[in-house]
Amino acid sequence: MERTKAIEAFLAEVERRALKIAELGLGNTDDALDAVQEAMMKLVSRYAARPPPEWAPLFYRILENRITDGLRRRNVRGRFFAWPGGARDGEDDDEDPLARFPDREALQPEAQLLAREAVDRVQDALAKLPRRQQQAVLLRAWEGLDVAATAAAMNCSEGSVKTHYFRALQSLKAVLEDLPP
Amino acid sequence: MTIDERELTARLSRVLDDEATARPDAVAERLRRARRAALAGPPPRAAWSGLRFVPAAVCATAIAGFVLFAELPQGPAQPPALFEDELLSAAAAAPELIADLEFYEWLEADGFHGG
Repeated sequence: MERTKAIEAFLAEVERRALKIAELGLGNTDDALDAVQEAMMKLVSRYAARPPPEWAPLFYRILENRITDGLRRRNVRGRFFAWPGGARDGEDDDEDPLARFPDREALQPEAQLLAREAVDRVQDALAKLPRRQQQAVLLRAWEGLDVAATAAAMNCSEGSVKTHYFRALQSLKAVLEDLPP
Repeated sequence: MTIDERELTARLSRVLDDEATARPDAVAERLRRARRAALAGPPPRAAWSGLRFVPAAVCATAIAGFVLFAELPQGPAQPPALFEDELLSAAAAAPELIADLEFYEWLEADGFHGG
């Protein structure tokens, strides 16, 4: 029972960040939600008995595998079912584009605009990073994993993590420096 | 002006945190449902769920059997072998070897008592 509560608390804590990471990897919210749900299920069904400090690297490793699978499936689908000039994956004619944006009514219009601009700039910069650099910077800088846990999540050496992380920060520096402190 | 790594990551985290927490209610609800579903575990499998592949297996076997059965009598006639006898085939390839073999066969049959 204690273990169930602990893993629920863990999932509740990471789910929003995990969703953002999956969105950055997959490019749309629906696929990202599916990937996060699958990662949650696998973590609970297979690794709940592991020590709690191992949950984060295991969870992000599962999530990363789901993202890679999703991208691979999309590539295959795109290769066989591509329509010239067709809609991008995840785009739906019936979908209200405004529904994608978070509710920021509480903010003043000017602050709202600046916040939106900052988010867009950071997301664009992150989206332009190579996948491994993106992973390294999100897990290290945002999720707060240490180098060893990040290496476990990324299934690579600690040296590779440091290299990817350093390069990612160098690329993001220009964008982040302009943000208000 | 350059900023250090800590400041860079702090700015990055702040922007991403803002974005991650300000989700539409529908997305937050889907995350909650996903978490509950994960904690509830997979739905129990029905007792007969192991038999769900049986119809497909029967169909596949029937199709394979039909194809094999239909293929056997109607298969194209095999071209006549050029050399039906391996010895003839070998003779065509190396006549000296065959001559030597015939000599040793004769020698053995003769019983080595000639000389």
